[in-house]
Amino acid sequence: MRIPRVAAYFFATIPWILVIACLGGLFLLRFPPSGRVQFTFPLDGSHAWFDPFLPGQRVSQAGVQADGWSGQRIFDEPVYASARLPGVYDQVTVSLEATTTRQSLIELGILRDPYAFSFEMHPLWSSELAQGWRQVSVNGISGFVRTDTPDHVLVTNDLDRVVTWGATTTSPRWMDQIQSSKTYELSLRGTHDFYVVPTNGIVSFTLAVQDVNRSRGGDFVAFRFSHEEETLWTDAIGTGGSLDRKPNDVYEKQMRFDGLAPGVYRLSVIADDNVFIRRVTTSAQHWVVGPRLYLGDTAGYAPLQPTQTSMWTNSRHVIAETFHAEGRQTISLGSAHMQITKTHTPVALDRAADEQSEARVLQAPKGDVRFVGDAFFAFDPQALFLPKPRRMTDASNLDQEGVVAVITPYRPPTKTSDGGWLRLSTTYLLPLSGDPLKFVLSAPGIFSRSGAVDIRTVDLIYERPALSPREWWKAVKKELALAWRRL
Amino acid sequence: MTLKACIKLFLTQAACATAVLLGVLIVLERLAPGSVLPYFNFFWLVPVLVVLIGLAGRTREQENGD
Repeated sequence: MRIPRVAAYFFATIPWILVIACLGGLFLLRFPPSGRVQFTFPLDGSHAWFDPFLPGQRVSQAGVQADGWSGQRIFDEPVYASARLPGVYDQVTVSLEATTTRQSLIELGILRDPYAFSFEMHPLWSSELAQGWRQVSVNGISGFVRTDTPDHVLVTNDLDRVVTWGATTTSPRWMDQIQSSKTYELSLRGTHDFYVVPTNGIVSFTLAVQDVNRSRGGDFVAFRFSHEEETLWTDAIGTGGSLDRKPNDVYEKQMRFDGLAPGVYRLSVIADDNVFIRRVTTSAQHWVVGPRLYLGDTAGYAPLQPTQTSMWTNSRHVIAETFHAEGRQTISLGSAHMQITKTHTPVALDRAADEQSEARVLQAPKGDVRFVGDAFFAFDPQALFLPKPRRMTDASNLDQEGVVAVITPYRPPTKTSDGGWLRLSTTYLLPLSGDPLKFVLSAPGIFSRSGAVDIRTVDLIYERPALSPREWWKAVKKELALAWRRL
Repeated sequence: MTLKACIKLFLTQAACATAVLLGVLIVLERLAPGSVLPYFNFFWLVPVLVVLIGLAGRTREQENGD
């Protein structure tokens, strides 16, 4: 049997046509003309676009669970997951179908700085805001007010009755007039943020800094003075370190800033936990530390010299943790007490229900304990003030605390059609590089409450503007640049 | 052209096209990880390629035998 030559050659080109169609199809999947690609799948670990949450001791294995549903259960935090980036996109919306048990607050973060391991956290779920609150937007500020209050309550000047959750606010324009210098004998360990109101346009601090060399080698201490997230001054000092683990001499760092406008300024001292601030001298009348406060010990400095272990605070909720056996003690916030019996175990300390207003004394008689509050701490009752609204935490009880507004970009969840499950979602802008995307899910206090977060499906929507020929070429160029970098 | 020659031509071209596709996909996945594999698991092209090469070789042997 003979076949015409033209037909034979056509027959032979079919495999090549299929190859071109296959590559073209893949190209369109990678560069969708609509600029939008969506992946929805159960969280069972079998999908290439999203790796289940880890580490294994904080989550169940992804797949069919003991009680019949398929997905993954989270019972400790933080847990980490990663997603594969399907091309060059501007933003990603992550939606999780989830239910919660004894967990009032969940946040989801995306890794922004791999070197500092710092995440951009977004609100994902709050049981406090589930009922009796409505979402409003006033002057470009988003948040929630109670259903029976007008929208403008969101921008009230009464900072005591507002909380923030994953949002920043503008600080008040304050200036003190009377100037007198005062010295505080302290033992603050590691990184701290000082918020201060200038006095007659001046902020001055003298910090006595000591490197105790509990790990060998020198350390660096960085200082940053800023206002409204704008850095005004930076400096850094290196501590000598030693090979015999002896503490260094105490070094005095003097800082003075003149001609400041009214406002609240922030002095950040960035150091690891080998570095202690032994003494603070300041002319500021109002200055607070927070929300992190780490009271260190005085070993190797002046073991017999008393340091201040009582603070005044406007925090309503405090998490305390010690890392040394000597730090086990009973701590108190107002009339509320809590015993720290174990090291490396966070302990929650909340104000009594009838002590929600005004400053209260926080006491840790033995020191050597790290506090993280929802507000700030001062070493002098007159110095205490609230530079910005409190943070909403998992312990927040908005009714009891008299909160009237929550400033937050939180997107309320929707219920799934089969009921019982909530669709929690948030959107992130994407960096140019960063494949795979790394996520962290934070559910504060989940382990101590024996709570759980169950996730059954993940939905990822990657978006960029619909592609015109020029944008299409731009996207291809970005992809080529990334490929070139990988060579 | 005879039917046998036509089939031989097709099998040879199919084997070549599969080899080229496999090569291109491997290079693409290497240059842009995640650009191909999550959509299309191309590793099954390897046995397809082996079968095509085998069939094309057999057709050639038969032709030589004839």
